[in-house]
Amino acid sequence: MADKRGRRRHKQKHDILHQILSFVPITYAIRTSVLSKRWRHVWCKNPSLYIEGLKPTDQGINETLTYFTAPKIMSFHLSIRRRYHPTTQLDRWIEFAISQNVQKLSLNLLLSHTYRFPELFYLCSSIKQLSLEMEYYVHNLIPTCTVSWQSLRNLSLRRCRLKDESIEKILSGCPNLVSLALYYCHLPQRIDLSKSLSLTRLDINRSDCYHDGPTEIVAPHIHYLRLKISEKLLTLEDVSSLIEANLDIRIYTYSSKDDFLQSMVLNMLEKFQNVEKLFVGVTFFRYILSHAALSGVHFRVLKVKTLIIKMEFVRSVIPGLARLLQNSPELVNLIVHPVDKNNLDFGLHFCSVPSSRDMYSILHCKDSTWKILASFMELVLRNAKTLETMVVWSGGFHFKKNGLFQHFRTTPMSQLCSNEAIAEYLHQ
Amino acid sequence: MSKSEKKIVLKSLDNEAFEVEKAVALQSQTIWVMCEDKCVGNEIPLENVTGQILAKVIDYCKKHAVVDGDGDESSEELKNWDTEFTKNMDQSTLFNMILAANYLNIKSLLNLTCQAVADKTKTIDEFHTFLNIENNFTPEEEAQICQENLWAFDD
Repeated sequence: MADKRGRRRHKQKHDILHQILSFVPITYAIRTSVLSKRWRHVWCKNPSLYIEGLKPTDQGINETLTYFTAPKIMSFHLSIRRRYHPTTQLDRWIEFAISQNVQKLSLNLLLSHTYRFPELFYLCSSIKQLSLEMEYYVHNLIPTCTVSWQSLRNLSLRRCRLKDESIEKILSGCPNLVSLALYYCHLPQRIDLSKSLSLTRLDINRSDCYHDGPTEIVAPHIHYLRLKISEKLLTLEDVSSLIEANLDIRIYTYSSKDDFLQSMVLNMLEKFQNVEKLFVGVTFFRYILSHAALSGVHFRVLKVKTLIIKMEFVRSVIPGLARLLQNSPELVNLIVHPVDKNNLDFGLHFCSVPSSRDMYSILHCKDSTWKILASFMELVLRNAKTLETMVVWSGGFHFKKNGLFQHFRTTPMSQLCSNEAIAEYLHQ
Repeated sequence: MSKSEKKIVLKSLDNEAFEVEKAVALQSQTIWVMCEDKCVGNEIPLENVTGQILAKVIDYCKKHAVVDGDGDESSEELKNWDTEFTKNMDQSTLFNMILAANYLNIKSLLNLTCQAVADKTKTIDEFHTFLNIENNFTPEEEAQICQENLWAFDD
């Protein structure tokens, strides 16, 4: 009985150690070989390999791979920072992972020399999840042969330089792709996803790319889109199935270029005809929608049911927000996340026109935030017809004092009730 | 599975009962399968989890059931919550949380707790304590193994 319990306890510990080893770099995993005689070879059988940092020398990695006796590798993560590794070595490590039918492959190759992946890499049929990070100024991701990633569902490319023909080749080789993420990539002129029938999620972050030109996106099948963009032109040709959109705009300098930015964003809104859930940030209102509203530029009526906004409570966001609410007659949920100065786009503090909050802060009366918040809630409740829930998160830098209810006592509550709206205040 | 019953009772090893929303409990694949198979009534006995640990698991599941689908901002908030959740757990709680997450088959909780241990446990001595294992190598044998994988042991 005691023996049985002992065996069970050992198995439990064994399972736990395996789970933990999936999260530790290989150097720590190998060190567990001196735990005790019974635990000596546990790390060699762990189904995931995590090689990271400056530490592993080429020889060290090679030796590790020879000790490795797991029947298959679920996950292989290789992140090297040494800038130079011979092509034969890199080929060998990648081929090792592929020969073990790896399902989750993550390669961070921050090399200072060009490297072309071996053909075998593009033909790996076991990969379900692939994440790749390169240095785009030295490296073009160009498949040398046909791509055949038959099982691939999630593809994430970071800092890769992509040409039109490369992305076309890659997409045509992934018939089961569900989500595509492109972070800080040098994008091609056109990303056409019309043949990727199962691809429903697209995530693009090009907020700090200085080198690429305009890009157009054709994605008639996607349901979810997240865009983090800056001043570089990006047009949405077709996103007709889109249900959920997250738009985050970063601007670093405030200048006449904003007309261009405004028309780019309004053109995007035109394409959001079926979007039911929209997530937008402070720049969107303050520098784009408010400008548009004040200068009488119209934009389409949306079918948005849930609107999640990240905003700073300053007057300059109100005209844009008011217009967006007017143009969202079907709105049911409104979720507001107040942001404070520390979370705002950097660079904008030096903006030539100070915001009302900047003015108040110069005059040392921080309390203005509460007044503006209260008047904002009043505005929403007065105009809302179908709104059922309003959640206001009043944490963060400007909301430390418990001032909200004091201000609300000055607001006629009958007005709140007549709208049959429920206001919930979540204090944190 | 009957759709009319929205609540479910989870009973721990030490007979502590927790009534939770079904949506909260069904994050556990194990419970999900039990409900699917109709092999249990409205009360589910969990023979491998103590009340103290189960309470924590339920806290986690509640948090993750409520916020789901609020977009990115909340996923950031959720991450902070997760970090806080594991930050002050002692080694034995973490050990039992991993066992519970494994038994209940809640993948995200298993990942979270293992990551927390991986972050906290860096030296071999810490591993010895965490897993309660005694080192039975002679100093010579240990030196021999270090020598074989010198690059990994060399600080």
